[in-house]
Amino acid sequence: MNQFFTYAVLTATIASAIQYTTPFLLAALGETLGQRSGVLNLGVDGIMLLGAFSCYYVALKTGSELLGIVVGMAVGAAMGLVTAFMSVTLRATQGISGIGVYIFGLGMSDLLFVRFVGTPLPVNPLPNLNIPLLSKIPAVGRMFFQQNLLIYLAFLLVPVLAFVLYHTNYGTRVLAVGENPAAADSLGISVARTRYSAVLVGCTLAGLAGAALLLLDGIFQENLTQSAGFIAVALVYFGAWRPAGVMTGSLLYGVVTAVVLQWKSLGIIPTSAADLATTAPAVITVLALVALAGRFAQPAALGKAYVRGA
Amino acid sequence: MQGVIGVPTDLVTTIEGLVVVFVVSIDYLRAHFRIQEEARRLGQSGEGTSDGSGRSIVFKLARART
Repeated sequence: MNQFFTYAVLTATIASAIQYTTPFLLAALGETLGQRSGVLNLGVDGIMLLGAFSCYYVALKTGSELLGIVVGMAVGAAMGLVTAFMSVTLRATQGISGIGVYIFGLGMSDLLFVRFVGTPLPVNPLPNLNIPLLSKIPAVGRMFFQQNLLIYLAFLLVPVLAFVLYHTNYGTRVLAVGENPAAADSLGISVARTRYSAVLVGCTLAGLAGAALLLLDGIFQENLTQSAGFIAVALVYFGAWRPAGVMTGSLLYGVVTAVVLQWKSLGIIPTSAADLATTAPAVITVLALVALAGRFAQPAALGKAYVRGA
Repeated sequence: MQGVIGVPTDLVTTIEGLVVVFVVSIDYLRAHFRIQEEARRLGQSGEGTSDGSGRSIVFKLARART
């Protein structure tokens, strides 16, 4: 255990924890916006998989990771349109339609991978962007300010989303539609348009989360996300539908993941228990959820389709 | 059987996803067509409306459905 508590190992562990946090944070922030508008999207994982594959394929063919990220986001947005159409226009049961989107994304991403790529080839991970001056700070600079663009973007989105939700007209409309769509409608707010936009942005972030996950290792494989999208949905509940809370939950998950992996590589966790230890982040998240359950109220209209005059 | 006829598992999974999405979404359309059909039937019989067009029935059915 002593080998873990060294400057180099601790710094490296926290730096990787920040990296592992990013896909969860992006997906969970998107889901937060959607859920705040009253739409429960359980298809996040499928959308992440499709976003990851499209990013991988474009990056592989063009050599441009940035173009891959843009395409991953576009695919996420397209899936968001489908999700919003089902949930808002067709008023489908949101939980089940989300599972349908997940299964579709899982199958389609793998089908496309086998059909168009076959043998997995690596793409370059995103280069690190050193923040001037800050990256030179001992320890802190290495951990927080020598990361890639998506990581900075994900953490920047936390205050941005909080500002949008609590200090803008659009945010007020989203919150109103998620709490009491009938009242919002009577005030002239278009419930459908607001929910469409929230789901669209949320799913675009899910596509981006998929791309971020892919670019961590630079290689695509079947079921790359390993249900990260469902964890992201759980993190929204953990964070009580607040961006800062969601970030805390994502960081907890990222830190536990990084520590477990580091302990495995240092041999602190015996090989026989390695598989069991991999489940630790999920177990800890579930335990935290159980501890926090019921302390915060969810958006009143979450998961309920809105019908004018109903 | 899937193995015997050589259908890729991924294709089966994709289709399963589409089926779930379709089944969940079709409910709205089914209800929509049911209302239209009911309105047309009532309109033809002139039941429940003063002009026999069935328009007020469409509205009532839509309200009742929700």
